[in-house]
Amino acid sequence: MHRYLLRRVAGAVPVVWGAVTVVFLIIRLVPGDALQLFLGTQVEMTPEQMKELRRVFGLDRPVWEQYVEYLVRVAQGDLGVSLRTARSVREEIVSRLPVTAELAVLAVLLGVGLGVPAGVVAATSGKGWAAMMWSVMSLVGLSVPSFWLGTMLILGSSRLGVRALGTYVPPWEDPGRNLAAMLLPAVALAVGLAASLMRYVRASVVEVLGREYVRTARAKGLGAGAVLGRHVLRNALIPVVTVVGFQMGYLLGGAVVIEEVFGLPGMGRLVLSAVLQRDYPMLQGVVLVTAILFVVVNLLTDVLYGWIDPRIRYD
Amino acid sequence: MPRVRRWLTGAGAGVVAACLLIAVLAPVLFWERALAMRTEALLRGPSWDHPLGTDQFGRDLLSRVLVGARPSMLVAFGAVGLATLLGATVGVAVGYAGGVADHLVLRVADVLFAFPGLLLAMAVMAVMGPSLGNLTAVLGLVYTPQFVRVARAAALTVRSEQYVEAARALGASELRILARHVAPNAMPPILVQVSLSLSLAVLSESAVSFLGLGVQPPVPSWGNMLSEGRRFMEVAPWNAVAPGVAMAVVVLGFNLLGDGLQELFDPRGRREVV
Repeated sequence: MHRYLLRRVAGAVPVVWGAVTVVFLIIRLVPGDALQLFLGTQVEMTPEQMKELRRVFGLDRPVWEQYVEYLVRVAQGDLGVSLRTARSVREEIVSRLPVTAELAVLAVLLGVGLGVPAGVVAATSGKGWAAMMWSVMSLVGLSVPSFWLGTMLILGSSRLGVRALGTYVPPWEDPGRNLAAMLLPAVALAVGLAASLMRYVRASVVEVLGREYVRTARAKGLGAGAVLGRHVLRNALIPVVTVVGFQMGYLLGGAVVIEEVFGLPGMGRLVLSAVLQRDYPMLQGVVLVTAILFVVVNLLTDVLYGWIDPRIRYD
Repeated sequence: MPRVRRWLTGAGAGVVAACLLIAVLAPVLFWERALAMRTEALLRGPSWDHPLGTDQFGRDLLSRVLVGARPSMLVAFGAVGLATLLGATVGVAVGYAGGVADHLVLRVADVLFAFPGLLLAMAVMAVMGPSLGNLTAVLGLVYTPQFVRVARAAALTVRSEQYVEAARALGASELRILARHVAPNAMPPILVQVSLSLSLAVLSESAVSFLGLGVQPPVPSWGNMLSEGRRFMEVAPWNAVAPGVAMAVVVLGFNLLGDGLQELFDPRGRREVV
């Protein structure tokens, strides 16, 4: 187990390094002068001032030198300073991260809670119209854009007179109001996840139902419920862990739009304002942290996977 | 394939075909109507003149929804076309050749997988500036790793088939083997991936436009229509409902088509939903 763990962690290191490199390179895509682009047309500067600014930001040095310095700084946990607010990018991200994390966790809980049972029911509903209905339903769930669903939820709840959706409050201040503000955004995010999980679970359960050990279990007279619970689900639900981990990336991306729809002060709003204001260090920071989070979540699910199913330790 | 399934696949294909037709024709037919402001008819409900009502500038909502199909289809087919071309070529080549190139390409794909596509697209749009071309290019790049994986897996399985060995024994060149044996076998999974990615691309384009980084008003796209419409949805809910329904129907069409293709090519196969 320890060797397996070590191998997985070692495998994640080059991915993180690659992610840092990509984030560094994105800013170099700027056609022309990043500094000029940032300053825009309103700010008039003399060539001397520009030169001075360039020196301050280290933009006058060779690209590889800037790259090495960036790597060293990121390794030390220094993500730079916001160009707009002069606040530390790391602190800003740390203050926003809990909102997005809570949103993602709630969405995963809802998605698993809805998707897994639905998948099991769909798998055991045979091949007739009922099965087709389930399949169409999951496809519809996959097709509805989460940010539109969110907008419709807002519209619907205001039509129903539920005005008190409320603004965001940290859960440690008022758990009730926090949940009231987070519930609809989480639902909007969870529907797509539930639909996709349902498809996986259905396929997985159908496959396991055809296995010989299930036939054996039935042959020895075990009831349908016991077969399903003890033999089918325990094997069929293992891949679900991986799917949830993999979907986290989409959740983090989807959270950007959902936070904008519901006005939640998370990482999504942060990155959007960074994009609109051309706050490049902030942008780099958020994109990098998200990518690293995604790698870590996938690593955790891999480890969990190996723990749940001891057969999977690779070599 | 069961009859219902066939019917659903046909419906998906129909929706996609209709949307393509609308994307080509609507801007020619309804461009003026989609942009013409009528101050005497702001935020009207559905009527004979305006089947879906009007927006906050009195523009005809139906025309705008129809015209909005164009950026959606342009970005979706452009990005997925790019990803297919790039990903399939690279994937088949490295899967067939193996070795260091294979290893390296997989590592690069791993890194690109670590970024949520939408976030990467936003970052690049911030740097390159919002334009349909940039969005298409970025999304194409974001979808490429998935195609590399699918094509590579197909090439790997074909590589060790006996008919490939036979072809080689008969003196066929590597290029001929690639073109005649490996590529055709990699086609079905790639086609399935194409239809799945198309639905994702439609969603991404509208999300980016919704955030104000894609198609810029007054040119209509489903994303920016929803973003404008939701400010007035208390008085004119149609403005927020219509573009979303258009998105959902088109994405559902792509998904139905992709599902059908999947079952057609690999009836017992378990589908990898992304």
